[in-house]
Amino acid sequence: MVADDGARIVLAGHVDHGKSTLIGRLLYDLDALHQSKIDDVLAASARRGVAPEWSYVLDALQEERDQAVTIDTTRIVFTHAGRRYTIIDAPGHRQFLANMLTGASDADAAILVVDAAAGIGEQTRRHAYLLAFLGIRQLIVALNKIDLLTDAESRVEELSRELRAALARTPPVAIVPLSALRGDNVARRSDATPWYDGPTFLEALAAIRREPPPADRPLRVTVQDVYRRDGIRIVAGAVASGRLASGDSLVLLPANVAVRAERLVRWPEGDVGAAEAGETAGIIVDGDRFVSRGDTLAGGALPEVAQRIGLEMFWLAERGPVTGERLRMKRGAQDMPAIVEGTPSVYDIDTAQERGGAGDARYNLVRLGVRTTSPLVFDLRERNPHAARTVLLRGSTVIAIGFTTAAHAATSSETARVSLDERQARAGHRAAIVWLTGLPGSGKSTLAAAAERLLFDRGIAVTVVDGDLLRSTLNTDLGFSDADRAQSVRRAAAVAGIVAETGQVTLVSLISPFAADRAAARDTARHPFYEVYVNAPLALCEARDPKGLYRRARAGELRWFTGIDSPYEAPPAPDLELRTDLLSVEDAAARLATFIEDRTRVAPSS
Amino acid sequence: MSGDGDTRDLDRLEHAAIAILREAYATLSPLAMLWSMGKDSTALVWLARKAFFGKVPFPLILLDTGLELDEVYAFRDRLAHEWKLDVRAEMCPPESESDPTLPPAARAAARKTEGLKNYVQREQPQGIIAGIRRDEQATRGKERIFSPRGAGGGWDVRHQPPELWGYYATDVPHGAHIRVHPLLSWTERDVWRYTRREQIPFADLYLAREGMRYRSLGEKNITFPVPSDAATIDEIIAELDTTREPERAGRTMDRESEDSFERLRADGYM
Repeated sequence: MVADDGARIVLAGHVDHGKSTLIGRLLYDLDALHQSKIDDVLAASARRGVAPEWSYVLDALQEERDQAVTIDTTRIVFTHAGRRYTIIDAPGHRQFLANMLTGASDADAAILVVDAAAGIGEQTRRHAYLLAFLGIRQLIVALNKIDLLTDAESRVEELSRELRAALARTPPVAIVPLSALRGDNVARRSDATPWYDGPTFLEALAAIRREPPPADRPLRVTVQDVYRRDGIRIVAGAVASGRLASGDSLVLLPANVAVRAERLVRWPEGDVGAAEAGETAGIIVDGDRFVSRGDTLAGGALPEVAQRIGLEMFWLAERGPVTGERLRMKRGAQDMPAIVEGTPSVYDIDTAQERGGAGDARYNLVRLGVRTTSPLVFDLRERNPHAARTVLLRGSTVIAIGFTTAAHAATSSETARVSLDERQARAGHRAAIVWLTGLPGSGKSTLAAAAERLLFDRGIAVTVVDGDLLRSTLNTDLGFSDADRAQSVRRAAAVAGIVAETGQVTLVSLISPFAADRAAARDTARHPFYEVYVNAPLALCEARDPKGLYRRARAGELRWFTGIDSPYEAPPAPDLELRTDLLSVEDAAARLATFIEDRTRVAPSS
Repeated sequence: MSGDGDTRDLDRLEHAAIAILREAYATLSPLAMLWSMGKDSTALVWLARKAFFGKVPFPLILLDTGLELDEVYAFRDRLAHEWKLDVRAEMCPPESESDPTLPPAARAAARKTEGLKNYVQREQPQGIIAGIRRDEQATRGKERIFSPRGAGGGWDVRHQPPELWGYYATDVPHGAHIRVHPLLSWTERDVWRYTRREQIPFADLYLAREGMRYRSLGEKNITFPVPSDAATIDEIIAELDTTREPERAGRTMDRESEDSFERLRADGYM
């Protein structure tokens, strides 16, 4: 007789490939259904005018039956040949992937149901990937609906080849051709497949083993709570991995102090000797250590304690992670804010392509870094996967599930400083330096002010750094020699850099006549830099002469005046050119504002 | 066959239920547990005593229709005294206040929903622990361990949160609450085997008298005994290995119409 180890087996696969029907059929064939359940299925089928629909055994919700789709996961326990099986039904529809994960998360094995007529579906691939991601290593493929095939033998052979290639991460222990509808190779070997000599579905199930809890990994005890009974503090611990025995020397984390588990207690027995992975334990520690919920008691090789953490997450939310965004992270009983750092990347499960940016994150794998507000205790997945399991939330909603994969050291100043990423996340757009260059009187200051108003009214944080203002404040020591002009550009660029660092769009309006100076400003900028050539013919600028400077230059009152006795080097390839002799102020400002808006927008968040 | 040599599966279920109870107590306050005095919720009270080292740190609520069987009330009084339990009876409103479109027995059962709603409105608990199991009834099979309820107590079965690796939905909007189901993965047979191993008291009504016994306890107007010769707990467990009858066969409310139980639960029934 097989030990009653209670293996949990999840049914996965593409929608409509027959998962619920297969399990309903199996239970029927094993005579594991109550008569009233059979009556219920027959009556509900008749009411809907369909042939006996065995999926109704598990698809109990009215909407599931009416729409013939599994919406939420359920589990059913049956006993066969003295052995207990827990079968977990998981929805195959893309929309219900979170429910599929809920079902599959603690399974020992999976059955991937594939419609032999339809072949590998989109969710077949995704489910197979997810099962491996969750750490499920025992996989059976049920090639369903062989009753619909004309040349079953060659089709099954062809599909088996395809599947073994697609399932290289978790090679299936069996590929069973079957018909849930007719019961072929489900509980009984079918005459219809004389060419098949592998196990029946039931035989394949019988070969599955319950995965033992990770008692062989380093000890990790999650502190769920601390109770005071008869003057004694009892730490309520959940052993995530390893073995705990009374008398063990442990480390309390993140405090990083040595403690001893003096006694392990249970009610009503009193003292017990040990507890292992998957079990709870009442722990009395020595001394007067302050232990609280969220702490970890560790033994053996110690876990990571860090505030900068690398994560590999299966993303559930429509909106991907945004750099600087404040999320919430749960790891064990720890629950703390986690700010997205750097640029997340998405691994597209369908195309097996890695790409930067977090667009289309939903239902794909996202690699990202986060910074927590206090030290987090965790393990790296490759060392101790159970103690690396984590979820991310926005508010109260779980948006991603996955594992901690890396720990990064952080200097104290790094964690203390507010980053540009965080400021940009708050502003909702990128910072940038927009450098307006052109002859005196070409309209730089007028355009900058008009565009500033337009952008401000559209909710963009924006400031103008005006050359004339700098002249009368920061640059009173500078004249108009080539060297002084270079210095003026350098200072304007520095001021613009400080302003841009606050997350603002910074418009610089400065004649800046020399290409080399402008190039230096661009090269030293630590923010996106756009050169805008405000272009009008010299004659027009001189005719406008808003401050009367051309007149004074012509009169010899001003020396080294740009356009008169000092050259203006027009940008050969500006990022934007605005012809103010051809455009009205309104049109030019609107073009400038739109140009800026397009370049500072963050990836659309839907 | 019914000899319980190997009960490691019960150990696993017990540890899991204790962890769930502790998680609920640490994250939801105030917290209360529903106790119907049936075998499941009595095993649950026993598990709570284990989880909290002998002392149940929250009240036990009896949704009282005045129609429980007399032996059930006597069982309550005995155990409340022996185990020093804080038991509170919540009197349920009359049937006339239940949804009139429900079939008759479901309408009678809905009195408990209304009683629970009154308790929730008055006491504003964040968590209500209930002893339901997946194998009792197919819509209960779709439940979560931590199951968020709306302000009216309703269950939004189409939008349940993901629940995995022991990470539960523990945030409670104002006026709403979380139903906590530590026995969700247990079967009827598990509960009886556990009751036997732990020697947990149970109402005598479960044992056969003159060829009939109660397999599930509910109000006397809508619950009936079923044919059985199982006069001891060993015989009950042996019977479960062979019976073709479902546990709630004596509960008329389950089968009045295909959707009556789902409608009850969507409105907040246990």
